[in-house]
Formats: sequence, structure tokens, C-alpha cells
Amino acid sequence: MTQTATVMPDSAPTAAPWGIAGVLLLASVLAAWTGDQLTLQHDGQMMLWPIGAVSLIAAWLLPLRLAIPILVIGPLVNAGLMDHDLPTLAGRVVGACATGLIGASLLRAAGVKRLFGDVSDVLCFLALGVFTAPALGGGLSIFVMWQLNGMPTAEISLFWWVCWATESIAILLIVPLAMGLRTFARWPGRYQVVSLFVVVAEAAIVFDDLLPERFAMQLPLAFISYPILLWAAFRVSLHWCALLLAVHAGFALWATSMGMGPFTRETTVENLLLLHGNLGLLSCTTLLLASSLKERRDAVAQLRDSETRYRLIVENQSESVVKLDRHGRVIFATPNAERWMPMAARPGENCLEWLCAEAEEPASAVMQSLLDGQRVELQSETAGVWLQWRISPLFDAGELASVIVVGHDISARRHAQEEARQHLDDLTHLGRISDMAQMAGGLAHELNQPLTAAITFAQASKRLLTDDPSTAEARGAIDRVVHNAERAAEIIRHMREFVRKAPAEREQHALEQLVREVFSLLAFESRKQRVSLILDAPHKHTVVSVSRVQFHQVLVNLFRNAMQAMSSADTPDKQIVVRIRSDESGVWLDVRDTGPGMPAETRQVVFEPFRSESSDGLGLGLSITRAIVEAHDGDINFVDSPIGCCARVRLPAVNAGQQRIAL
Amino acid sequence: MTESTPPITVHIVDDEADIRDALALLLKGEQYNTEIYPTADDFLERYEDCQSAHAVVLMDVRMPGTNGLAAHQQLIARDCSVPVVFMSGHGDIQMAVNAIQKGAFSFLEKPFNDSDLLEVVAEAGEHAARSSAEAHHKADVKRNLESLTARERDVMLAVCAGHANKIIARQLGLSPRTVEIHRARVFHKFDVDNAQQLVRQLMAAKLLDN
Repeated sequence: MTQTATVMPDSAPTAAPWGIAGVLLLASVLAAWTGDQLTLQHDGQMMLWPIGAVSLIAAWLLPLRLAIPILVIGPLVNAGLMDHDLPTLAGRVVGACATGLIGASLLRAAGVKRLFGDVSDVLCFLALGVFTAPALGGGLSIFVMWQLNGMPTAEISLFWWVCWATESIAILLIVPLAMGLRTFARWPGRYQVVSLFVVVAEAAIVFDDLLPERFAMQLPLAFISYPILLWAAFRVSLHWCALLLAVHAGFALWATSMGMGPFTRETTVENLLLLHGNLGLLSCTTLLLASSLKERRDAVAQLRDSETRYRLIVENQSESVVKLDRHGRVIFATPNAERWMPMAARPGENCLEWLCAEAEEPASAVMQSLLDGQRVELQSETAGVWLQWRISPLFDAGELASVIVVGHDISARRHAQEEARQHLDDLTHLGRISDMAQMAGGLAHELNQPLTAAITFAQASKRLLTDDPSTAEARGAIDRVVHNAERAAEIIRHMREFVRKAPAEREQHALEQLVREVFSLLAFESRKQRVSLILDAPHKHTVVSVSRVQFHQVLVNLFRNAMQAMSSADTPDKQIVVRIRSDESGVWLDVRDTGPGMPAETRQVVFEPFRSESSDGLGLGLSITRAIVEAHDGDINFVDSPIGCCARVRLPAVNAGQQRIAL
Repeated sequence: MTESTPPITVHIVDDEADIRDALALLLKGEQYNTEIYPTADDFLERYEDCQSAHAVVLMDVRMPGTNGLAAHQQLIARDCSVPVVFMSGHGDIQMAVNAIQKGAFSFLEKPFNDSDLLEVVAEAGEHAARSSAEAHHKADVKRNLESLTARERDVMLAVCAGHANKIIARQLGLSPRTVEIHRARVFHKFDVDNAQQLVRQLMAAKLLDN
């Protein structure tokens, strides 16, 4: 059993081997009868040995235990019909078995597909099944007969040749037809009906001697089958061709065996040579042509499939692709390119110039970059849609051959960038306003001090002067000094009140969220300076009640301060670590950098205005930061840190009962 | 300011040298002694006479190092009753209210008028004298009380209760004459002429609760 399993693998119709065995058994009997029928009248020579073909099919399709009876039954029936002697019977049984088994093994080993998928399948079938198997099978058969009844040695080669010819032609005609029978289940198409009709008509005319004898006997008439079957090979399937060939051969063999048709000759050899040569060549030509056409059709279908797939991809992608020639004229464009590029639909228009104009780049410079083999990226904006164009040159043998332009809608990204920048601008603007307010406040304080001293000195001087007429003028002057200084102080006070801002609206926010927002605002700057921003927070929502914008300002100031502290290039591993801790009494936010740190004396004055050590800015950043934090009932200072410098902001805790945010 | 009392010393604490000097000049002209300190820390270090009847502090609020308000808290912690007048260029009402609530004497906004300043300083000086005098008086009464013998103390309490000599004698088991002597000695020690004066003194020093 295991052996049969290995002998019959894969796609054999094992589902109903008994049904197939039954059909093949009948076929075998039919073959035996056919062989008997197709026998030359004048010398009793059989013209076809179809038992070999049935044996091959049985051995190819069925397990060994089912195939063997079929291999044996054909020769037995044939022997019964033709009254053979025992040696002949034995030879025929051995021949049928040998042809079937050898042929099936060879075909299986070569991996020939049963429905003849392509040309190589047909070639293998011709070489192994049609040529080799009957040659060996026939040889064995003759060897057995020669051993048993002493066939004259001189006749052996002729006899073997006849055996081979009759058997191989049968295999050539029957096997492709039988294998393709299942494909005939569908209703035949127009070409199939027409081709069958034409072949029947042709065979009837050529072989039935319907024409006057002088025409019918003319050999060239037999060649009319070639154009007919070649035409059929173009129009119908390989298996239908096999059917047409079988029909044609059936007529030819029958007519010839009846002594009709162009192939009737005096001797058996001549007879077989002519007929079988004709049939064999016709079959080989037709089958090979049909299979190569099938291969081609398959390839075309595959190509169309993949073309459809790619078309689907290209037509539905969001990027638009345009191929230009080396002058920038459109060769090909995806359909969606027209949306953004009106001339994409008109091949021959210069697209590159248009693009450069849109992107406001000199076309000559772009062209030069392309000629240098560089990829160019352009951005253009039309009615609020931002497009990025990637332009790449394609070279062929060192020459610029064509240019590929890939357009991509980057509006969303662009808008997000714009928004982030706008927010940062707003913050900077706010910063500048509060800078001015702070500066006014600082100025007021700075001016107030000397004015106070001046006024007090003046008043003291006045009191030092004796109260007599000689000093009256001086005392009057001092009064004027005091009055003017007081006026100056008054102006300053007004200015300070004018710039004192209304307190910003406070809302509850998650501190971590605010930190992340500022991280993303400063993402570009930090990347540029290679500073990594790290948030170390045990909770996700530490609630604080702050003005969002003002607190953004605080964080931006602290982070920028930290980045500035680390700006010297030799600071290794630049990091800003933001640590958030909280309990019932308050919330602490530490901003630690990995810079050189801050000396204790600087910490004393760092929050005073105009103390900045940096050349840009007024040195108000930290004093504004403190002002904002203090306005939020918190405080800020710099604390000791093992590395770098650590700013600590304390804010009052918002207790659980008052928390309103649901984040 | 009367001629009889010793001059008041004004302690000026301000980080601005010109303001210190101007204030010193102004106050010297009005016969005040002045001491100047550039920082609150310096002031806290050098100022010792906590119970002086003749000291007033004029202090800036915002200074490097310890600020004015914090320095004031340290003074309170030291049990110093010296009146503190704050000066600030940041006319912040909330800050002024806080300072006053915490015991500051007054609050001046820079720049100030000389007469306002002198008025506040004078008031602070009187306040200092007054609170110092009270303190001295209390100390005197306490000292007098402690100088009494046990018997004199009993007699004093009975006198304060308004009892007559005879009743006191019977209560304490003494002769009226002896009570008379003790009573005279108590009046002498407290330097009073009658029982009413004695009671008033004790009540003023909050040593007597009816």
C-alpha cells in the first residue's frame, strides 16, 4: 500500500480511482477492438496499437494495484479477437505492461503536468512518452516473442519498427485527448465547433475518396490538414487540438485500413511510413504550436494582471508621479498629477520650467543639479495646498535620459509646523511684551532709588539752611528741586501701573502635559543643539492651577536657560531632565541640565533683572520667570545638584476635591 | 522731642548708599542719632540693644540677601520690641498690609516726603519710649514687690483688698500697731502716699487681678 501511495502522489484524481479504473478498463477493451479493426486488409498488418496508450494512461493515473489488471486485460481481449498463439499473447502482455509502466515512470520523473501546462511538458511527453516508452516496451515484447516462438532474426528489426510506429502514434493521439477530457465538460465555443466541423469535412474529403479518383489519390491533398490544424492551434485549446487530431487520424486510419485515401500503398512499410509520418508530424506540430501559444497567452494574461495591479496602485496612490524627458517635457503622468499640475495631461509640455516657476527657483540651476546627478527638492504652494516635489534624474549610458518628478501633498505637515512656529512666535511676542513690562518695572525701580535719595538730600539741605531772608532764594530753589524730582517719580509710578498686566486667567492643567507641549515647541531647537529632553514623572496628571500661556513662558525660559548653559560644545551628553514630584503640600518641578553648573554667588542675583551674562536679551528671562511663578503663589530658586544646575519651581498643590480637569 | 529725654537713635537699613546717607543727613538735622547698615544681615549682626527706649529701625524691603520682612521676623523671634518702619519702592499694598499685620510700625513708599518721614519716625520714637517706659515701670513694681517680707506682702494684699487696719490685725493675728508699721513700710517701698496709689501702680504693671 505504501508503495502505491508513493507511486501515485499529488494531483491524481484519487478521489475516484475506481471510476477511472472502470473507464480505463472499458477503454482497454475498446482499444483491443480498435486495434483489431484498424488492420490492413491485404496483409493483416495492424495499423494502430492503442493498448499501449491506454496502458500508459492507466499507469500514469492509477495506483499500481488498479493499473495492472488494465495493463493485462487489453492484450488478452485483443488476443482473443485475433486468435494469437501463446508466445504472441505473452509478448503483447509484456509489451503493454512495459510501455505503460516505463512511460508513466519517465513522465512522472520528468514532472510532466497531466494537462500539459507549457511547451516543455509537451516536449517531455513527446520524447519520453511517445518516443522512448513504446521503443522500450516494443523491444521487450519482441524479445519475449523471439525467445518463445523463435521469430526469424531477420524480421526482428522490421517488426520492432512497426510495433514502435503503431504504438507511438496511438500514444501521441490518445494520451493528450484522454488527459484533456475533463476540460470538455464546458459547452464548446464557436471556434471549437467550427474547427471540428472543418476537420471532419477535410478528413471525409481527403480519405473517403469522395472526389474523383485522380484527385483523391493525389498525395498533396493530404497536406490540407496542416493549415486547418495550425489555424485550430491558434484558436482552440491544446486538448481540443488533440481531439481534432484524433478525429483526423481516426478517419485516416480507418480509410487507409479500408484501402482508401492517399496513403494506400502496396507494402506495409511504405504504407505505415507515409501515414504515420504524416500523422506524427502533424500531431507534433499542432501540439507544440498549441502549447507555445498557450504559454504565450498565459504570459500575456499574467502581464495584464500585473499591469492592472500596478495601474491600481499608481492610480490610487496619494503621490503623483510624472516622467519627463531630458528637456523637462511630459512623457507620462499619473492621473492624479493633473490636480496639481495642469499640463501633466498634455505630453510634450515643459513641466520642469513650470515647476521651477511655481517654486520660485531658477530653472537653469535645477537643470544643472539634475545634470550633475543630484536630486532636487522643491516646494510650491497653490491656494493653501503645499506640495513637495522630489525631482530625480535618470541616466542612461552617462547621459541624462529622463527625469522623474514625485509630488507629495505636505499641507498637513506644513500646517502643523506653521502652527507650532506661530505658537512659539506668540510666546516670544508675549515674552517681549513682558520683557518690556518687566523692563519698565525694573527701570521704575532703578530710577526710583536715586530719585528718593535726591529728594531726601534736597529736603535735608533745606532744613539745614537757617530760616532767614538770605537763604530764601536757595530754599525756594530746593523746593523746586524736590517738586521736579517728585514729578519724575510720579511719572515713573504711572508708567509702572500702566504696564502692570491684568492677572492671566488660571485654569487647571496637568503639569506633565504642559512640559510635553513645551518639549514639542522646542523640539527643533533641542535637536539642533543635540540636547535630549527627558521627562521624569511618576504620575501622568499632576494638577496645577496656572495660566497655560504664562507657564509655557516659564518652561520655555527655563529650558532655554538650560540649553544656553550647555551650549559650549564640549559638554558631553547634553540633557535636560524635568522631574515632577508632588504631595499634599505642593508640587515641585525640577529642571536639571548637564552643563557646568552655577556658582552660589550667581544664584543670589540670577533672578534680578539686567543681570544676564549672555549678550543677547536683556537678562530679563529669569526675572520674568520668577514674576510669573510668584504670581501663581509659588516660588523658584536654584538648588544644589550633583551635576549641572537645577532650577526648582514650587507651586501650590490643587487638592483632590478642587480638581476639575478630567484628562 | 523734649530736651530732657535722651536722643533717639534711628537705625537705617538700605542697600542704596545714597538713600542711607540722605536719610542720615535729614535725621541728624532733627537731632536724631543715626546708625547705617548696608544689608539686613549686617543689621541683625550689629544691632543688640533690644529693649532700648531710644531706637527706631528704618528698613528697605527688597535687599540682596535677607530681605526686610524676613529680618523683621528674626527681630520678633529675638523678642525685640523696637518699632520697625519699612520703606519700599514697590508700592505694593498687599506687602504693606502683611508687614503691618506682622507687627511693623509703619510703611513708607519711596520717594517719601520729609515731613511724613519725620512724623512717622517721631511717632515710632514715642512708641519706643512708651513701650520702654512701660517695661521699666513693670520691672520696678516687680522689683518692689520682691523686696517685701512675707508679712509685709500679706498686709499689702489685705490693704489692696481695702480692709481697715483693725480687721487686718485680727485676720493676721497681729496687733494693730504692727500692721500700722508694716503698712507704712510697704507705702515707703512703693513710694506711694495711700492705698489708692498702690493699687493703681500694681494694676498698671498688670500684677494685680482684683
